[in-house]
Amino acid sequence: MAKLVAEEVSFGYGPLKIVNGASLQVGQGEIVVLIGPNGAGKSTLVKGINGQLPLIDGNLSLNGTDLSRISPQARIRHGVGYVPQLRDVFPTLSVWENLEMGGYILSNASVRSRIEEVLEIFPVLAPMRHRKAGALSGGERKMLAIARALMAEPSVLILDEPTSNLAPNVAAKVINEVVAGLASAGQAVLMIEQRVEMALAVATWGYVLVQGQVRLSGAATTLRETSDLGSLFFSGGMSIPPASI
Amino acid sequence: MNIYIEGIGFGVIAAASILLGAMGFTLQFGLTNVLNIGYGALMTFGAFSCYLLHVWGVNVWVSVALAGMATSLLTLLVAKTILTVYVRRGAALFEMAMITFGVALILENGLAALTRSNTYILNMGLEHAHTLGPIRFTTTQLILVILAVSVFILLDTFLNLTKVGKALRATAVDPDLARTSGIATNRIVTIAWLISGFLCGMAGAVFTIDIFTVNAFTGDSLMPLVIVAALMGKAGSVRGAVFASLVLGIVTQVVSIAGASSYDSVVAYGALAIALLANPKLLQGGLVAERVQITV
Repeated sequence: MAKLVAEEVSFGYGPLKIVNGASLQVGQGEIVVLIGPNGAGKSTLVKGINGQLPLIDGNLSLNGTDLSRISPQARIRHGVGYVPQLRDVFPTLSVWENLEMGGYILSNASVRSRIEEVLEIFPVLAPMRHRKAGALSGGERKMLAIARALMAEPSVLILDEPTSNLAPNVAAKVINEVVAGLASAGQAVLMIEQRVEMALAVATWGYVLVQGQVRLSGAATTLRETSDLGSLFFSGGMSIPPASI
Repeated sequence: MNIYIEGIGFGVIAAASILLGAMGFTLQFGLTNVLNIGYGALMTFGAFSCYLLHVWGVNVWVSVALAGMATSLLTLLVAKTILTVYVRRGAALFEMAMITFGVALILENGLAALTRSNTYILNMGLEHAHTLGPIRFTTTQLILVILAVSVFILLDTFLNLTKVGKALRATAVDPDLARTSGIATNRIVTIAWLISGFLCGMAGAVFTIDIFTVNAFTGDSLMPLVIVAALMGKAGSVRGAVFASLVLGIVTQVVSIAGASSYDSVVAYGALAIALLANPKLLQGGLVAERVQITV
């Protein structure tokens, strides 16, 4: 059901377009991976989708609702959940308080029961509910960040490099257990990831963003076998026309 | 020796106005990152408001509350009309401090013109002194201390146990993350201006009740102690401000008794210098050191 649709969207800072005419879709239970070299505009694209940056051109909708001109707070109500790459929790607040803030748009009566539901998804956080988020390990902190975003019951969960700064074994756990687990429970996930192999292994679909444009898209299994992914990354992709495989 | 113990008692009373002011300042600076040099002038406004209301026959404690409310509204007005213009133009921390200094000059000189630079006496009437060992205090002074402690307990409870209070703390830590969590940060910042303005006005009013006088620059004499207490307690930390206020109140009163009453600001800034040597991050705004975004 959940379907995030971005059609020919452009985002940027002031008059400068960083993302120029990119299109993508995310459906229910899908993990869609956005990959590309540094500076390709991946974070700009997801900041545009969650409303931190204004839409310059194109159309953006979720479950048929136009998101183009509504605030980040309103987008949360419409089902957009977002976990930034860094600074993804409130370090001086406790685990419980972080989850409360994630459920800020919920009624007071439903916050507690929703926290209990989320803690069932992340049981490792349950005994740490009174601990300050700043005192958590990298993996625990990332789980809290995702749990915080899940509090508002998003239709689509956007993860900006969830394995950034994590040790390889912790990164594998986040991707293979947490993200894949959420998708298998029906959660739509749009994920930026630099650990391309690991991400494509669990993903449904992938988009390669180069210099603000989608240069390649296709089923994750097909993208994994694409031999020129590296050349797309390092050549800047200018010689390769946009393609879907 | 007894005179110094008595000085500790006076210090606790002096700490009441420092604490009220420091709680407001630390909340304001911690959440908005505006180093508001005009805070002293706003305390003066609170002091005058309390004085005038009392002269007009309003109960002095009701006057304190009303002075807080009036200063709260003036603070919000300054923030949303003057400061917001410069924030939108991209003013940095130092520029904002200078702009608030300009606001302070306008407010104080305006008050000086209106009052012809006179000093007014707040007549609280004669009071019987209570004694606790070598420490003597009046009922009014006792109420000042109880008032400051009560306000601290209320504010601490509000920040730690209510949804809006937690949102205030979250916004102070990371306004961008707060916004993408669904927190209406503009509304939260407005609430911070209102609360900090209320505490600022109360501090000025309480200070005037403590020293019995008010003039166009009353807030300036309290301002160094308030800023130092807020920064020593770490910007953004209301609990930190309590201990720092108490220490500063006692130290400055003991210094006064030792015959150096005009050096209380020197003592305050000396204490800040020592605290900064121990922890240089104290001067950074917000509850964490990462953020320098000004939010008005």
